[in-house]
Amino acid sequence: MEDEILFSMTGIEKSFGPVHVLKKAQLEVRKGEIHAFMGENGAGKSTLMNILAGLLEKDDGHIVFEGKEIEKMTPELATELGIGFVHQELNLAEDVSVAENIFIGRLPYTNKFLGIVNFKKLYEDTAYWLNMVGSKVNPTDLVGELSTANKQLIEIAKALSLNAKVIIFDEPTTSLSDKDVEVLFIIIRRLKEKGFSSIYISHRMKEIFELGERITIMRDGEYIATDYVKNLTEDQIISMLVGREIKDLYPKQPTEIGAPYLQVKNLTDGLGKVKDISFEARRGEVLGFAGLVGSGRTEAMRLLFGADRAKSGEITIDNRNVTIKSPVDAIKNGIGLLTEDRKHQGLLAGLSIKDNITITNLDEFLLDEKHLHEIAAKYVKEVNIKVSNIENPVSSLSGGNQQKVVLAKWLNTDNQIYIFDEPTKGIDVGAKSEIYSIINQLALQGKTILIVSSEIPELLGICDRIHVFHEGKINGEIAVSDYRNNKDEAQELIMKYATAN
Amino acid sequence: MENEIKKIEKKKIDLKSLFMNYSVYLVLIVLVVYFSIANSDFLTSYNIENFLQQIPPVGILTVAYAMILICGYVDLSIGYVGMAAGMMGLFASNMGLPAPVVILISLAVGATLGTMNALLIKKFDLPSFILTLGTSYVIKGMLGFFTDEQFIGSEQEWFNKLAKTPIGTEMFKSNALIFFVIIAIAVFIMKKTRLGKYTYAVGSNQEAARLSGINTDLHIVKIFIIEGMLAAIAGLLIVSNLNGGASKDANGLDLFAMAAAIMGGTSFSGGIGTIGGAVAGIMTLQVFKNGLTLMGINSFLQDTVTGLVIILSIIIDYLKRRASRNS
Repeated sequence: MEDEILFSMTGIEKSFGPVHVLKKAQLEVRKGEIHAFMGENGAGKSTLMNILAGLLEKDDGHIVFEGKEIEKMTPELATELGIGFVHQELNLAEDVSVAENIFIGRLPYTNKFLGIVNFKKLYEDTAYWLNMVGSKVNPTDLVGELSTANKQLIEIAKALSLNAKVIIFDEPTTSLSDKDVEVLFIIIRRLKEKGFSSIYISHRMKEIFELGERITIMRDGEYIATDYVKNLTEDQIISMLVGREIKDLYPKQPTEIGAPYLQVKNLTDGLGKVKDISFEARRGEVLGFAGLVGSGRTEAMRLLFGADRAKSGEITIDNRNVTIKSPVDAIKNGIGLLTEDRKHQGLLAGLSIKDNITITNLDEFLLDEKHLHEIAAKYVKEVNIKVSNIENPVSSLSGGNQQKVVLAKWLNTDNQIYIFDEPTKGIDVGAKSEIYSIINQLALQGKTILIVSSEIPELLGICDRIHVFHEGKINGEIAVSDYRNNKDEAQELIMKYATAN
Repeated sequence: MENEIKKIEKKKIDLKSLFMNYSVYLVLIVLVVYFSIANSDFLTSYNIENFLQQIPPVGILTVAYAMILICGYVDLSIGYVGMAAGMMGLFASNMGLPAPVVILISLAVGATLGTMNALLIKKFDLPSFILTLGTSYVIKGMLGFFTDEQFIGSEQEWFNKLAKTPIGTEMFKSNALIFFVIIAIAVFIMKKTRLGKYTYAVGSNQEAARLSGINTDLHIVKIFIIEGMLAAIAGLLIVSNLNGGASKDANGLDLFAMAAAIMGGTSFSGGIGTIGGAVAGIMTLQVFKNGLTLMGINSFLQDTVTGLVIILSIIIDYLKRRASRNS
């Protein structure tokens, strides 16, 4: 039983037009195993998973599920075989109940012809599956009112109710708090005990080591290796992922910390999410903001940028009092914000890469397209975006490259203060290290940098000081240099500040 | 050998995408060629004159509609905004005011109504579809109240000539000239200016545009003002062309303009589209209507056939989007 193979995919080929995205890709998952699946953005993970789930058709190769060769996979067949997919972007109907979401398309009827739903049975069945995933929500709750973590559990319950034998988790933790991640892990482990298999896709090394049994690594559309996680070190995995060694993920260089540049006093939003925030940041300084999801970090940064209106508070830049009521004001005062939500707040999806980069800095009413092209090309090179033509739509890029476009858009403004909200969320380790070096470069140029991140090692790696948020207030501060040789202690301290008074 | 196959495949794909991208232009050319062969009246100077006399008002509305759609909004009141401005111009001219003042009054009415639409939409975060539906009834009612929906004649010779002064030849009159100048300006604005670029940005993702430092509220007001003024010009041309007008003269033109803009590749959800495509869209619909009339097709059936063409064109648009998603 232990090593029995649930399914295997071998020699999978796929091209989109002239682009060859999968070259002899393979993956083998055993019954009851948690199989970690890693690859950089654009390595072909999603394409392979979409082929498995029947959402895309393979050009060539074999899929063998429980010993049976599957010629043509369709979404219907995948469901029938027991392949469940918990997408990164959850696919739930927000305005109907949990029960209706789980049993959408197959509601139990008392009278099928008249379409009268047997709600008693529906709610009982739903309660059974919710219990299976340890969810405490009611079958009658509206999905739109639930947290992301709870929505995810509902997706899992739905997959299980469809008799899933394997569930694909596509970066399930990107929008979860640490506590919710723990709950999710408990459930995935429980599923394993009951004989279900999981494919776990993530960029977070820590999670892979905590959860994964075996791991498959892909790079540039090709299969690289499958091995037991316990046989590998983090560095080995990273070098397989990027195809080269990353010497130091956090290339922090000592910068000359200059005069105080930005002072924030008693910033308050009036909604109870940001209460009386005060801090100071200097030229050349990288200031981190840690805290749990929802602790007010993002909200405070949005007030500072004028994305939302502050109720009260004072902002001083370079010893000048400034009023910031809108992003226009913020940019006038040299502040740029890279938002956390790339898709909804960062990218102009219908526009070209060039337009996305240059939109923040169109000085003249009449556009000099040639000049704009040159500017965009310069930044594309500077942040190392892999693209053949910058007139292509930005939506054609992978996640990491899209994030670099958003970064380039702000580099193009030549601001003095850069706010990064989760700058490396959902992007691969290669792109991460590139983004860290750009942040480093900006600090060396004497810019002031504020970084919100949920990954504490990242903050410890790139910041000079870290403020910790707790329930809308800054609850503690650490100077990273005091913990150069004792990062574990720093991490514990941050967690303490983040969770308690 | 394999290489050759790939080459051929690539060429085929290019042809296909070429067809998809320029489908509306192709349809237009095919229609023109077909009607020229099928009907000897089609290419006569009389018919061309007639065609050029009819298309400017609805064509200008189409240009205005394309801009609003690209910005991510809909304006169902555009026809009545245009007629309100046109009728106001007519009254002013009948009162004996000089031409520049009349035209300014008319443009101001269009701009004011556009501003009101935009302010209400932004201030109360309203869906433009519903709000402008409301506005269109308000304006319709006011116009009807003051005019009883009766035809009001123009008393000034210059006013009648506004749309009908021949430029060089009888075939080509001032309203066609105004139409082509407006196309040129709109193409220039959308392609070569910051105003145009911002319009695409706001239509593509308003929140991201705002967070990129664009004053999105102000920009939307600007676009509605431009749209209102274009509607005013269309309204003036309608009234001038008929030596007077009634408040319901633009009925149907507004939706026809919207259909033409969408047919020309403008996305209903914003951020995508071109003025050139929209103009090709309205040309296609007008050529089609004109050709069917010449061939003696029942005018009610003409509406049906026109509707089918619109449906077909959005199906092509759907196929286009699906094709681009898959590649």
